[in-house]
Amino acid sequence: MIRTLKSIKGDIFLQFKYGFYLVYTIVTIMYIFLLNFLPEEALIVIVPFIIFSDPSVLGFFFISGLVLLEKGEGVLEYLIITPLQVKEYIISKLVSLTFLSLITSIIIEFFSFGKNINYPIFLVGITLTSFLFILIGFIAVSRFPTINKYLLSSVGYIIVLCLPLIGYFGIFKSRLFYLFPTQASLLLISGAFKGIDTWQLIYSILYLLVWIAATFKIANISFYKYIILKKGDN
Amino acid sequence: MIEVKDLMFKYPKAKEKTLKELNFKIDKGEIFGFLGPSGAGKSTTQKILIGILKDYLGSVKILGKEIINWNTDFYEKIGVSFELPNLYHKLTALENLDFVKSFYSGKKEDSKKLLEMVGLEKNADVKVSKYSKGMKMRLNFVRAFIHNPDIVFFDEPTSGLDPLNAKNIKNIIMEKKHQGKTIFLTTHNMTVADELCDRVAFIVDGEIKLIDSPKKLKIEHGKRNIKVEYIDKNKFQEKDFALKGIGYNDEYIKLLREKEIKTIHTQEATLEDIFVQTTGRKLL
Repeated sequence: MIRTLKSIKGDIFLQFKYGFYLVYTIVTIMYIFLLNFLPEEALIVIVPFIIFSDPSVLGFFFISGLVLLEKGEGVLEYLIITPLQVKEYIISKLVSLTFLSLITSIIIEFFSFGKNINYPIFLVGITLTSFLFILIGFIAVSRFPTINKYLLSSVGYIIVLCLPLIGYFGIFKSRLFYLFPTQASLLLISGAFKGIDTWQLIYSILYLLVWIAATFKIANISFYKYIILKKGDN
Repeated sequence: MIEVKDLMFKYPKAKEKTLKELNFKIDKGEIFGFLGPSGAGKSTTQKILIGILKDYLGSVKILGKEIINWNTDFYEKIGVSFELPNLYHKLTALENLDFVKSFYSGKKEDSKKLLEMVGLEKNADVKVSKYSKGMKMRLNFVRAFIHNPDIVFFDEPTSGLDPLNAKNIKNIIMEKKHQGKTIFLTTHNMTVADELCDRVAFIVDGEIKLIDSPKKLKIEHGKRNIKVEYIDKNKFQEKDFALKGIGYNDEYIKLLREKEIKTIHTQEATLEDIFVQTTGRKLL
């Protein structure tokens, strides 16, 4: 537990040094600036979408960036021979990146929408979505040694995960979207703004938790297979 | 400290075993050199000893406990310095040391003192991305001691270093040995092995061909001759004499008295010669 906390502190420090906080300050300011031009009736659709995309993009691409950086510098090879365990390493990444996600989402919501929303649902939605995308991002990136090889496959992951957005924007409605964990994310985040049915709330939280548990397990296996044993790197 | 019995290892898709029945034992305070050409199985053995590869056959006991039965406490006891530096480039040297230090729970070394040991104290607050290759190597080397481990693994610790820094690294290794640390040194640099190791193992094609102390090996494999270089008729000449009964060798004594002697050397074999003799292989 102490080791995990120290690792989280270290990870936040590293992410700060790598410029993640700077990049996100700029992105957040841009979002707020652009959202100010939208009419109020559009905000209720667009702000939840931006808030959804924020932890997902942040989680997915920043975890990939971090892992590729750590692979490039060889530090992952070193971390393996310290007492830090694989699960502690992953938890540390989950917490540190989600922390950044929560801060930016709260700031964006406050300065763009600004009205009273259901904050508990909002925070749960962002946290679970962030966990999900970080874990999937980790699984996606673990087998690749460099960014070029990784980028192509990353597009595939993002497209599949974002399919429920078609339903969200009302282009095409289908119950099949409920099979995607991101449907649950969208329900929670938009639910914080415009309300959510109890069954949807229960479905969303439980379904995301199931996905997070499963991807956490797969991420641990991927770490062992592709980073410790280095299968697939050559 | 380290006890390896009938160690065998085969990579899943490989046709042949990478390691074939390795047997060796390393005592506390010993510097053990693992020497061999590339692809001999040195890194695979090290990966097993540091607990990365777990699907081995045979027995590997570290500090009296089979390696697969250790939990992550194992990493509190061992330190590793890999051949290629693996450091956070955006962090300074001091930040690099403090960052990994936070993962350990036992008695820890002072980061600044470690940097002083390898002459990096003035660059403690410089980002590693601005370091030269040699500086990175020195930082990478000294980090292995941060948690005061009992056993330290080094892979080519002096590669890429200038002679002065290489000498300093060798002195530190000797000092740590005298403090009771056990050191496992993987290298193909025979001079380093000769200077540092109490015993060396020659590994070729996944087999250990020989284990002994460098000194003993050199005496056993030496020719027991003396080579004298002298000037005769304005020309360099050389002559070999058997070391046995050298004090009664008239020709030798006459040579010493009458000629201008330039050098006298006993003909010990170098560790490299012995490696080639016993394994039939060159090191590189």
